[in-house]
Amino acid sequence: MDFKQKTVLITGASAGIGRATAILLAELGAKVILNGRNQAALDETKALMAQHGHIVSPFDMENIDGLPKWVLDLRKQHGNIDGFVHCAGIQTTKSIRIFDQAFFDQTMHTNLASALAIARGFRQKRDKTKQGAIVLVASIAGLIGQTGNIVYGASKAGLMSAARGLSMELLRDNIRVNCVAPALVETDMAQKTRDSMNDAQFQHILDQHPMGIGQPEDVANAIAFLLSDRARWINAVCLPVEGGYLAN
Amino acid sequence: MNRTEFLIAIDDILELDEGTLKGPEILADLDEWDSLAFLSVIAMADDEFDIVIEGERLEKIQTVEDLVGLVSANFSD
Repeated sequence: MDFKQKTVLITGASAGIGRATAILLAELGAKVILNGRNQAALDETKALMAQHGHIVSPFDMENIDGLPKWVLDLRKQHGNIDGFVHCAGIQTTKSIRIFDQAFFDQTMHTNLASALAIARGFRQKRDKTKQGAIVLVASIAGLIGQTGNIVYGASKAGLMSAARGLSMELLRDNIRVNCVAPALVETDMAQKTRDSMNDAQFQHILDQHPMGIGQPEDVANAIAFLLSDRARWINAVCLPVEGGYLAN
Repeated sequence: MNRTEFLIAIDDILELDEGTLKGPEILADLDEWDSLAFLSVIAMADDEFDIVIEGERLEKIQTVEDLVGLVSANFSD
């Protein structure tokens, strides 16, 4: 896979899957625009990457109406953007017993609406002679039912549905849109989930992963493939990256 | 959130009438104290006090008063 001469925007690049994807794409020759909320953490990611003039651009994923213009401004400043990887996401284990609008809105805005707003900016005024690619990081939580993970699962199922709709609408823009759906991956987010459970509860989750839990690099490899020209005829798919979880 | 409001929030999680819990109740004796209530208390503490009650700590407590003790340093009064 070759990403030389390509620029890729990655949200959620300050940690976990986003950081691993940024490091991998830089190794493969891409110039990467790193987004997240935490400037210091983004700078840490940048320091871990092979050097290709990467850009750090913090922006709040909850500022939905500001996102399209942010992407257009990035293009004005840094040229054509070939790829967009949406890793930004939040997960809070909450029962329906304490569901409220603020929780719903924050999760849906950060995980789902932000992807759509960025897609709006991504397609505008781009060079359609070059194929563009979007990869949205969904989750197996969007494919199965998990206690205490209802809103997160709905947001990720929404991403998978949005990928299918976007893939059709953006055909005329020469943009492919695909998803990956990871199972539990060893990230800060997973550690927070682990902290909120007792040993038995977490062991139950581990037991559902036939090959153990994944590493961020395992997901980054799948993202890089779907983003690359090697996947130029792959569109509207959701690739589970889950060590056999769904077969269990 | 103060102690009274916290107890009411626990009443709400356990779907008890407001003002039911006073402190000495044994959690294991409450029919409503289950794994979802467990997760809900952790999420509520995170929302209200920005603290993570580790699951292992929560598992070891016995009474509602013990639960209060896990978060009382963060009460508003």
